[in-house]
Amino acid sequence: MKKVLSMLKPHSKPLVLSIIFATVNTVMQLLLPFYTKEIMDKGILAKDMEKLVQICLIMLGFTVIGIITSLLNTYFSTRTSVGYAVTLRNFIFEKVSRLSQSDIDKIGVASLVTRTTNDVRQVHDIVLSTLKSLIPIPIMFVGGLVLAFKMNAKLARIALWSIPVLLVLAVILIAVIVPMFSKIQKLVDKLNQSMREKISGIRVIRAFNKTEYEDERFSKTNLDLTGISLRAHRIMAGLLPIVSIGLYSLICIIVYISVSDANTLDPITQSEEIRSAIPNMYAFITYFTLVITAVTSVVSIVVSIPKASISGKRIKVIMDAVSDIVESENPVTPDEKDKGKVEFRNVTFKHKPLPEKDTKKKRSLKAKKKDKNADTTVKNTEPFTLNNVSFVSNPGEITAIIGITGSGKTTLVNLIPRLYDTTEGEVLVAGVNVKDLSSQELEDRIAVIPQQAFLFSGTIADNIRFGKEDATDTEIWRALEIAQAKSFVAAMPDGIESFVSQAGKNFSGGQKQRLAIARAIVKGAEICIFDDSFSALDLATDARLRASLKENLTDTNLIIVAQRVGTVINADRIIVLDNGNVVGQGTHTELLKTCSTYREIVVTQLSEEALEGVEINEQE
Amino acid sequence: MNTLDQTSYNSKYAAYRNQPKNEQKPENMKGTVIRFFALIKPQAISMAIVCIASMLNTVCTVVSPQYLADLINVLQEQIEGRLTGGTIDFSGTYTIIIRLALIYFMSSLFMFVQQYTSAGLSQKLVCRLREQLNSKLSRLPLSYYDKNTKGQVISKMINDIENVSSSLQSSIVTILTSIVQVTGSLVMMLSTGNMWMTLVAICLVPISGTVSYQISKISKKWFRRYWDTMGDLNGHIEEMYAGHTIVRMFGHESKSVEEFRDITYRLAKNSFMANMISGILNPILTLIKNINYVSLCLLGGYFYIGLNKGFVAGVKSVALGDIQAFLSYSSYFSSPIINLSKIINNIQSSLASAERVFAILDEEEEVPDCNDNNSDEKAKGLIEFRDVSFRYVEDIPLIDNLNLTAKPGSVTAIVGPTGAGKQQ
Repeated sequence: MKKVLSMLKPHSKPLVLSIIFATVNTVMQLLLPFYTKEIMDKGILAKDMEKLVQICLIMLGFTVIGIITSLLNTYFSTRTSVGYAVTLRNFIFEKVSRLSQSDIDKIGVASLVTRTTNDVRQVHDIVLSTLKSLIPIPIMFVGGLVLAFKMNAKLARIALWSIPVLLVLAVILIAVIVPMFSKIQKLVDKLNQSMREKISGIRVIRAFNKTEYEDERFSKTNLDLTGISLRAHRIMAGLLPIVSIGLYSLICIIVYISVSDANTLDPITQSEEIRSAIPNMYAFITYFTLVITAVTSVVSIVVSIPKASISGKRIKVIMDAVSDIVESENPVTPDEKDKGKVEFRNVTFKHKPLPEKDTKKKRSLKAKKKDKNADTTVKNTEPFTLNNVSFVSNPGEITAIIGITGSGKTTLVNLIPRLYDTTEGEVLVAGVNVKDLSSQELEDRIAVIPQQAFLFSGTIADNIRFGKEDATDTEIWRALEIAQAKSFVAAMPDGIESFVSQAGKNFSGGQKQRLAIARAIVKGAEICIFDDSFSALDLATDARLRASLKENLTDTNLIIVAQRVGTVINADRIIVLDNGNVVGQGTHTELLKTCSTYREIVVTQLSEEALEGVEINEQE
Repeated sequence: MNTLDQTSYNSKYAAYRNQPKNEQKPENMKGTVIRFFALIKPQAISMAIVCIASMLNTVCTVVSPQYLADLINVLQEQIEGRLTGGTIDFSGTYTIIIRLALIYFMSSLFMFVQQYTSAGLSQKLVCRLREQLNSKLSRLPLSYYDKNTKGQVISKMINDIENVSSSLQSSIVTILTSIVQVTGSLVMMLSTGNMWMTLVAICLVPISGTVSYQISKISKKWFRRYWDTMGDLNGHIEEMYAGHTIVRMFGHESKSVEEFRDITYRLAKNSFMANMISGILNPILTLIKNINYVSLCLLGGYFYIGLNKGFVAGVKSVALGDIQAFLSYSSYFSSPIINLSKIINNIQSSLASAERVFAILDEEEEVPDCNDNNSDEKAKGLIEFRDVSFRYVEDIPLIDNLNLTAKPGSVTAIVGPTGAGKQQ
């Protein structure tokens, strides 16, 4: 939490000003009961109309000053909290932008989004309410006590006994209730998570008939949560009534003592003191009420801390995250003659275990392990191991990587743009180890079309220009043409200015893949990596696309990951992966002779295609 | 300031925007209210206890200043007596003190009963609603999840449920107590017979009401813009994080950060204005209240002194305790009315939440699987499609009149170009 709050530093000026004005405002508020007393005493009871008007005006003056300081406090506290939220958000966003893909997978995109939006808002709210409500409390407490003493020292000494009692009560209450509220917060999180998982994994849950199991789990958490919040809220329900009963009893005692004291005063020499007995008593009661309210409101603010501190902790995890990928300090500029070359030298890759010391991650991991449905998603996103992989691919060539699901194909291509670092061995791009290239240099040379074609909100042109910011319309149309996307884009009423909705939902899987390919083509990079990017295309489109790539991107090193034999058949080099090992390397005809795994893949796929469906009667 | 009229500006992230909470209105107010009462029917007794206890508590609160005034008036007489040489005699005050203490005690007791019962009521209601929602989710057809971003809507439902059970219930209590408080204090003020002071006290209401209405109208506009920008922020973050690899591989980090800074800057501006304008409201209301307070003191003092010195006539006598009581009543009277717009907003937003929860609970369910398992042993593994039609959207046929038999032991392949409907 400390680290998260340290981001307040750039806003220390408005912060300090807001504290100052909060203090002045509190002092003004403390003066009001005193002037009420003066009105009663010196004005009304003394039957002095002039004095009454005079005191009323003074009181009004202080009210106005109080309002002005209160407005200034609002201004500066809002500026502080809003500015703080901006600093925090910008910091988190920039930090996440620099993280590697594996770091992001560890925390999860949904969770990162929540941290950047909602958690920051929680922390912002706490800062704002602290500056507006918490700062005045100690001043109220001390000031109220001092003024109570000033009004009537004897009474104050008696009433003072109630303070330790109240404090002990407050401390006990806080000790009991804060752990309960932290527990509540955790259970709410758990419930939310279980609901989210249920929605995202609904197909898996239904398919495996896990509904009952999931429901039971939910019901259990729900009952736990209800039980504990019921207890916590019932305890809180007792707070205010008990405090007010105490306060009212105290008032009765105060009334008795302050009036009976008047009996001991001499009616002639101390007439003024006798006259002020009741106004004094009023002011005293008001001050003491302020003191007691201050203590009780501390309790209700403290109760809201668990919520914010959880947000704080979640933000801190991001702030502390260290990227796996370390930028080289002395980047090497590659030789022009090696342009577009990719080489793997004895590359071994093992997925790093998550750091154990991070309790938060451990907890979420444990939670995932418990849940079978989440477990499968972890398996899918976690890269697989590679073992001693070596190959060279050159510009103008097509290198295809084939293998069954989980053989390590995606991991292999992800090592080229350095999404992950190798465990052993070297990956060379343009003749230089990727670890020695500046990230800028590396990015410029590579274009990637990932497995899941991802489009951004905006127009088609916006999305294509992601590859090249200053691409002209002609360039865009040409890229679309190469990617076999021209026909469907041209058929849309707004052409390349057509709108792409959230995550490209208004396009089919195949259309999205072709747009993603066009985006990569427009970049004009020397290395182009297609990670299973033809999977959603039918065979005819797939074939046309490959032909047009070969024809148009003559200087580019094309690296294609595929599962279909048809996709790789014409490649200059096919690398066959099995369980992270390269079991064959060569052209289609070579591999058919030398590599049994490849032959197996070919045979199974061809025989599958040879099978015929039974009696399909499909009408449009 | 003329940009204010432009309540919302276009953005490519419009899909991520949400209706701000304080502007949500239920579409079918009456139906939702009736549904809500049906929902709390099993807890009708608890609800009745909460309502009665909170009303009794308010009655005690409204009555107590009058008893305090009586006590003060008697004591003041004693003090005046002491000033002329007598001694203060408490015997006349005992019954008043006991009555006052009793009222204070009752008030605290009712407050406890109300809060204790309402905690139970709302927590149990939350529990029940969550359970209902969860089991509903299990029974919804898969197609429900395919439509749009329903998933997100449902995950926000947890908040809606909280809103329904705690806010709606407390709103009902607030309305009841407000009515008791306003009429009670008005009656008490009028019963003092001092028309002038009552008039000044009532004056507070239209002034504060207008001010708070105007300010909240402006702040609402800024909050609307704030929520819109928040939606843009959400959209940008969600896409940039989800497309992280693309952003990095296409060297878009700096541009994305730049765009992010742009949005946060806009967010900061809107958030500052929204919080600032709504933050102004309280100090201004306090100012108006304090001016009113001072005027009442002045007026009360004028009557007190005037009656004593003889320059005012024709009004009932005003004692010190009465002035104090008046000050309490004027704030009891005005605070519910000043907060009226806030209360209405709360009720509307919780009713809107209730409506959303009910809408999901009313969704058509998947037909449950046949429980009597009479499937033929020899048909095991046989899959048969008989005249199957399927459409995602009403008007666009996807699968039309499909007949297919897949016998056990045979392999059936489904072939077709992209988008022909193979997976369905």
